Amino acid sequence: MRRMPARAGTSALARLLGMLALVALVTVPELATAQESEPQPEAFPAERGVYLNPERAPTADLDTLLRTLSDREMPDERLDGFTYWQNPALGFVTAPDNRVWRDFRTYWTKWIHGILIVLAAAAVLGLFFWRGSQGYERDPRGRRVPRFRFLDRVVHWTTAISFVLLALTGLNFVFGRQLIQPWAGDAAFGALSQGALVLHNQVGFAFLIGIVAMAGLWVQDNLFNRVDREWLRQAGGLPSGRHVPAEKFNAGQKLIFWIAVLGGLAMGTSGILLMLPISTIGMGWMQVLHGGHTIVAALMIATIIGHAYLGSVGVSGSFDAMWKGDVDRQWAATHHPLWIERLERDRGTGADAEPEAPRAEPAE
Amino acid sequence: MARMKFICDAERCIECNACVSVCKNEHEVPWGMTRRRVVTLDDGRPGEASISMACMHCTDAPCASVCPVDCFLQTYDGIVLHSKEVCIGCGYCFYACPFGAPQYPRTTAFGSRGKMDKCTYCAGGPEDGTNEPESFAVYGRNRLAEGKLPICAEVCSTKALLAGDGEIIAEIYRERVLRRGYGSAAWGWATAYQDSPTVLSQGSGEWPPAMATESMRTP
Repeated sequence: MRRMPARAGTSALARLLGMLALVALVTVPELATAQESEPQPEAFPAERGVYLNPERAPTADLDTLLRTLSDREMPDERLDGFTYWQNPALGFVTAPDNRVWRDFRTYWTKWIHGILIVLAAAAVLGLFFWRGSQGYERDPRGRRVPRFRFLDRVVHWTTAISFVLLALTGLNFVFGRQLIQPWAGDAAFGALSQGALVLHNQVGFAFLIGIVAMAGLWVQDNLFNRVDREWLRQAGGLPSGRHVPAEKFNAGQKLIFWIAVLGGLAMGTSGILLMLPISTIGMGWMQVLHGGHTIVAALMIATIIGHAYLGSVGVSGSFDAMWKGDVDRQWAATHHPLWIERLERDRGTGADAEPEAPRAEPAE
Repeated sequence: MARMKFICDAERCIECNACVSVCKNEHEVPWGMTRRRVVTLDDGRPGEASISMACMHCTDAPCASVCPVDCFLQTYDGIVLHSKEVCIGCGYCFYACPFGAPQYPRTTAFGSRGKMDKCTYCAGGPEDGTNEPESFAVYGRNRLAEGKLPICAEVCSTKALLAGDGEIIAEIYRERVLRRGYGSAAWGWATAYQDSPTVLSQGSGEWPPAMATESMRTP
């Protein structure tokens, strides 16, 4: 019963609306033609729409306007606050200081890596053309001296292979966008980089284990002493072309050991921290760690380029040490005379003794 | 040509978080991520002000600059979009972003962070910008293609958050500032839209940017 008046009301409203529609039908074509003739502002393309109120279009440079009437300058500074959002790392409005990291990432990283890698490659090439491959007289009786145990070699090559994988996947993030993406295409490069990221994150653990094992296995032979001072003073005999006495490892090798161990530990530590969620240690630390990770990586890549050269082509016969585990006795007497002396003294065997079993454990 | 920007009037924002909620709802943003957040300055003290922050769609976008796989593009409207097919979730854009806009679905340690997610200015994804279910599931709704402005600004009860052509919203803001005579700080504008002299690696200075896809021109 209550609805009756309401229904009567709606019918009356409908009639009124119908009349209005009739009026509108008559007048709308006129309106449409009026709109077409109105000029549109130049800056606003027709397909995007029109200004609802063309008089509101700005008359002057808005940045300047805002600045002149500003009681505070247009702020371009760090502004922290409180947010209800669950991630407290997002409790800021603006963080323009992130530009520092941006510059590092897009500018300095490329230069640091580029310069160090080119320098290392140039040094290796220069060394090759200057001194060539360092040869040695083969032992007349073919005696071989064990230099690295099986465990030594497994640890070395675990670290070496994981380092190469880490370096290549890491360099992909530095240079890939410029060097690979243009001809690989977005989809292929995206998939490649995704794989590289996963590989980088996983292989890092193998590398870290290798570095720790390496440190434990070889640290006793890599402590600097007086012999190394002399070796370093003569720059390894490189300028004079004479061999400087060395123990199991010469000072250059010891330097490489310490760069690998300390650098590797720094890389591993920063790498693991970088794999944590961003909010764990805060943005600033993530940026610092990323910077350190990148710079140490460049230093290590350059070092390992030199190490790979000296361990293979640069000093002939040295590759066998890490591959087969033993070296020609004369090679050892040439490059590591103090080591071979001590080795043979400890074993009670002189230079004229019977050849040893090639797979024997080293005295040390 | 329109240059889409956000501006948040800190004098008007009442920290109701409607923009945050409606954005999550409109785009069905997964748990643990937010494309927009409200930050309160001097919380509980005199002079308290709140600002709604999201991707500001910078002119020389740091995220695009540092991305190792170059997955960003900027539309002719100035909207910064990224391809989730190419993104590898490295997290670099979050280090570089001055507004904390990029978000990652996974926050577990020792793994990929998952594809980055951020405000799309309600313009869908860079690939096609349609409202097909596949595109919606990845990027959220493309309201611009429907002729609508971003939902956060549309829903704002005090019209503190404005979205649209930068010149128009700046003019609205300027009128407000002139009328009330205070509170003129356009938070984030200098950071997002001015050339920064400290940045050594400028992006393309051309406007409109050359890398925008043709399909984004007329949604």
